[in-house]
Amino acid sequence: MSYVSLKSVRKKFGAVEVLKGVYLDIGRHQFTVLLGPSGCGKSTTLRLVAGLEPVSDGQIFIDGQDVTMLEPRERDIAMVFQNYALYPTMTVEQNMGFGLKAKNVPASEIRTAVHKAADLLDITPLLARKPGALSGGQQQRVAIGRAIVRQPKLFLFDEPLSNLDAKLRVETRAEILNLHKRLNATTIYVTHDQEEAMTMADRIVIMNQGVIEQEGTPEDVFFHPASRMVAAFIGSPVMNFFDGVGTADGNIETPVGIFKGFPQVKAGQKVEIGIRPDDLLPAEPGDNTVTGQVQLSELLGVRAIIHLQTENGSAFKAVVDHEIYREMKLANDASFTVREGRLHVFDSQSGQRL
Amino acid sequence: MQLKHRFVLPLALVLSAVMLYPVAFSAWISLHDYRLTRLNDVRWVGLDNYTFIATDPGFLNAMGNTITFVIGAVTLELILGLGLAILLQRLVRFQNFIRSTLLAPMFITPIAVGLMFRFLLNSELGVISHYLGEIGISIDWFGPQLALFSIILIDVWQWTPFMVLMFLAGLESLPKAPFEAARIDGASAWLTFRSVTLPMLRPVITVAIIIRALDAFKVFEYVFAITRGGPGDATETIMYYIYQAGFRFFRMGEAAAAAFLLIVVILVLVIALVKATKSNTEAPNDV
Repeated sequence: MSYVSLKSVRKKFGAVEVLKGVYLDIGRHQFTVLLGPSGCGKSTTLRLVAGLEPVSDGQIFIDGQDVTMLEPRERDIAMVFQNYALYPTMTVEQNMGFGLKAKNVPASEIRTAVHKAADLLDITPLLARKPGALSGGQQQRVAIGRAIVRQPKLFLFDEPLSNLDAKLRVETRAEILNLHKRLNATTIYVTHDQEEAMTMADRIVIMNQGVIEQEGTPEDVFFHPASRMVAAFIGSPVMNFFDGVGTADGNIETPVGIFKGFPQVKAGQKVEIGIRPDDLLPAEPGDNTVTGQVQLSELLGVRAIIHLQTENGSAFKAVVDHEIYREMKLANDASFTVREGRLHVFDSQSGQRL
Repeated sequence: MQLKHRFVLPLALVLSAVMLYPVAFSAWISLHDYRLTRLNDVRWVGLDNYTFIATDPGFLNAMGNTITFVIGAVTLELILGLGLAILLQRLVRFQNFIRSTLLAPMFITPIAVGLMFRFLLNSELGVISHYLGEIGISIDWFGPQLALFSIILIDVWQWTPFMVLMFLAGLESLPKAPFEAARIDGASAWLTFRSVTLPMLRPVITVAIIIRALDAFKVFEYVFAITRGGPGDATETIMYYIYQAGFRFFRMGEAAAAAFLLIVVILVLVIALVKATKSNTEAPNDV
């Protein structure tokens, strides 16, 4: 049974409709990541769940209760903001205890709860300091501490790692995940960083232009993208796309060659085929292969990204092992076949997977 | 002389002429028996003027009146200004219109404000007194009991908009995020105001208090236009006392000494307030 549920939620800011009817079910103890490009509505969705913005239409349920019209404080949630949103004039201890103070919890209980959370996050030495005297990473830990002290029904994270440097981001990522498991929490986490989403999520919800494009496990969205948008958004380097047309015998004709065995594509149907750079394997030229001239190669370590250009001028990338990289010479031609079952076909018009 | 010093020279000369010289000259006067009626007989008296002023019941009364005025007026302006600023910030419509209307009193010269209220509050001819009389309330606004309070109210009428302006600017410059965090944390409006808004606004409040208090210490026009320090000496303020000593009784030495004593009082106040601000800026607002 779903723990958090959004039913046909719409949000307008003036004449602009930011959310165009979002349906979403989130299970208890799940770590759900809302992922999407800037302006897709993911942060707005989170703010609606938090109650910081009123919905224009639709309903939101938390733990079976309709909270659509409730104030944030009546929803029993905690939120961690991108810019930490600590109270600048309070000490770390006061910051973390503020939620309990608002509930009129006795001071001794607040102290115990704050110290317990501080222990968990390793920030006990910082308790007497003010946020201005902390680094970004420390401030974010305090913000997380403030959230867990209250033991809410639901944790909301709004791009909490965006303001941290790369190393700290990876560390804090693991820490948030550990906390989620230890506290057995239900978490909704907003990010635009696909790596964060892939590594943290039980379920990923990919949003685009105010609607949900796809919802599923990280494997689902990576290996079976429901649309061209999802395919292009997830994965690095970005998926290669080639325009193509269906033929009568179930093949796809593209400027880079013929790809066989796609009965779902109708004759004359305009499609786009998508191949991840990692799914291109060196091969002899022939059917189901792509050939291009090596333009540039970037060595990453054991693997390398090869930039190629086909005869008709379309650019694509392939990720190859170090040994193959050493054999590839600039301006030479190289052919690749596609790993079994890893060729994605999308309708050109709707962008949907075929 | 280096080029950089030559650039400063004109300003240094102007400042010396209009600030340094008058201050030095009045310091010199304050140490002499300097009367405008006896300029050929100016005598060195040392600190006599200061000891006389510091023990003069008239001066002490004027200082007491001024401090009552400053505390009363600035406190009322602070409370009203903060309240109005918070209400105004939440106003969705007509905000700009009300904002500009509220500012109007600030643009009137204080002497005109004094005259205006002198007529409005006059117990026989005043419009306000007339309508209060219609509902059976009879108040002698400028009687011995109320005169200082009435002057405070006039100052509040004219200068509360200044506080509103300062606090509105302060409120609008506060980061939004801590307020959203407070909503999530479940803080009531009062707790949010007390624990989040007020501490973050404290630097602005301190500056507003300093500016208004300094200005209020110089209150003169209302007193001059309405009560002339009366009834008795109930509304005699420091500035009026100095004006009287210097330009009515021509005892410039005493007037100058009184002015310097006022500077000392104001300096003590400013240093105390600035210290209070500094201890509050420990937490930077870089959220």
